[in-house]
Amino acid sequence: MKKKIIHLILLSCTRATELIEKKSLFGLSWIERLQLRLHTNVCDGCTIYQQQSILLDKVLQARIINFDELSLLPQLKNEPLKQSILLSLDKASDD
Amino acid sequence: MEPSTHASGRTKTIRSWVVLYFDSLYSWAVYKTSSKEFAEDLVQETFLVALKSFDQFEGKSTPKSWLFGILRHKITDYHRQKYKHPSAEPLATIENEGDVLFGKLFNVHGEWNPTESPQPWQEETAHLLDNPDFNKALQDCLKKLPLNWFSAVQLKFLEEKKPEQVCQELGVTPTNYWQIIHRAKLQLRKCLQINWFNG
Repeated sequence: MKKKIIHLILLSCTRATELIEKKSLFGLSWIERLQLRLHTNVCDGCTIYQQQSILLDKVLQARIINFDELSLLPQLKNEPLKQSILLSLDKASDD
Repeated sequence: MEPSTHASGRTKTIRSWVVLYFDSLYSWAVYKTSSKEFAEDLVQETFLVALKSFDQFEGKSTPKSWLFGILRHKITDYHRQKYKHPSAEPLATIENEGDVLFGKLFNVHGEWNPTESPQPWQEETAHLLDNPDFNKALQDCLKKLPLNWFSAVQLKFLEEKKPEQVCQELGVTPTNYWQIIHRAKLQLRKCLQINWFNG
């Protein structure tokens, strides 16, 4: 019973992490913001989760905007496909 | 004979772009879809679009970023479809994976299980971004996500539109979208904790 009341005011960790993800997409209502702040004030796990979630978003975002992740990951090759595209272009220019 | 000379000039230009940028485009498509098969189709279509809409390339951007822009649209469309119809895995299976994940991470009161509670990562953010090994670990963890979770995460960062509009166009509710992102991020974080930070 006590736990139920605490969760009503302070949220469960399931709900708190859900709000953390909702916040990064759609933002939160003032009551949700307050609930989340009250929860992270007393919950180390969710505080760390929030920091790491934001960090992951930053990393994923950076990888999209500049295509530089390619310099951080091995370059892949597909010679057959490359040659077949070149060949079809050569054919097109002959027509 | 003017138009045909014009057309072959265009083909020559595109040809040189294939030589220069094919590998980067293909690699990016593989990393963004986690599928060589689909990456092949998307890159092929990219060059086809480039050939057809060559007149729209005004030299405002570099050929490379123009091509990546086309590919980005193709990859976004691909993930929109996968998000809505993750054909390879039945939705019930994915739903179940969500339940299993919650069951592992949280107790019946919705509190972190002691062994699953997030631990601090002892590493500078700036270093992480530039670390090839971390990027490889992240890529591997992304690959392990169920298909439509993976697509949801990719869409969050690929889409240039606001999430509200994305949901509207996809015909899904915002709640559905953030709940899937929630599961994906919980799993992704756990995977990195195990494979990178503790590994």
